[in-house]
Amino acid sequence: MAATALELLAFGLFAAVTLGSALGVVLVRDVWHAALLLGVALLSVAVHFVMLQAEFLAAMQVLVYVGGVLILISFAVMLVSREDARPDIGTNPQLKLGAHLGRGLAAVALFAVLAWVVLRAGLGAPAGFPAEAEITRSIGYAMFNLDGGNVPAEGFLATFEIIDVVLVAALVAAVMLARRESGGGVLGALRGDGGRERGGDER
Amino acid sequence: MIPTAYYVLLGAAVFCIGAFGILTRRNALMFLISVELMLNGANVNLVAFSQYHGNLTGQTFGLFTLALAAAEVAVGIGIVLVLFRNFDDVDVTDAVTMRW
Repeated sequence: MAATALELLAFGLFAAVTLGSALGVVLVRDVWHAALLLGVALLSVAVHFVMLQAEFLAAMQVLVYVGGVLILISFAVMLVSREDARPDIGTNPQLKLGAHLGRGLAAVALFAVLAWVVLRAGLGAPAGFPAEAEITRSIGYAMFNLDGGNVPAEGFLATFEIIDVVLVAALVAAVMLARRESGGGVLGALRGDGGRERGGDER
Repeated sequence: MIPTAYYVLLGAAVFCIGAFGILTRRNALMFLISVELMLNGANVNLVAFSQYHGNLTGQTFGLFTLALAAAEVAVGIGIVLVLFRNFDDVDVTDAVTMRW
């Protein structure tokens, strides 16, 4: 099934948004602006997911990334910002040609190799999912090794349980990292002066 | 349907942009943000090949990638806060006490 002109137009527009905001993320000097541009990039990736017939994943992308990860990142940006931040830094994207030239060339070379491999692979038209496919329901069955869905997938029960343990470990680790060593008080960085005064935690 | 190669190229481009961010920036928060970009590029690949084969393995694995990214950010933010507390900055080149 060939792509219609409208599909190609939509893909082109949103690919431009994704690439533009991703470039903006790595090129703006201000971390807060980078975090906001990351939100734009993540939302446009969610649009790509919808066009790839992954509606459930698109919803999860918006919920987990834009609703969770982005909030966490902006939270951290607020916590580690300082009063003596440099207001002379503008908000425009900046490319330091001298210092960034080698690294930029390395990234471009990596992309060139990847693109060469992809274009040589000769991927044909995608098979896609039939109209009667119940994608979200099949994902749910695949996660628990059950044979209920009408779309083929591997079973992921072991992965599901391992991710379960990893999430708990990560949350415990985050709480451990946020505690002060001496007083044992929880989340010293969240109190009062934002944890700026070192040693000011024996309250 | 859009040819799968376009999506794979898009994912590769987002991945390389994230790699460029990690190579050039010194702010620990920018490292986290760039890693998020790279994970998203990989996720686009997974979902694109899921559609290419008409098989849901890629989409299910993409969900797990989402969960891991959330866990990674939770730990990463904790590390950034500790870095800020100990060195009064989030510049990764400031943390030199573990060097020998």
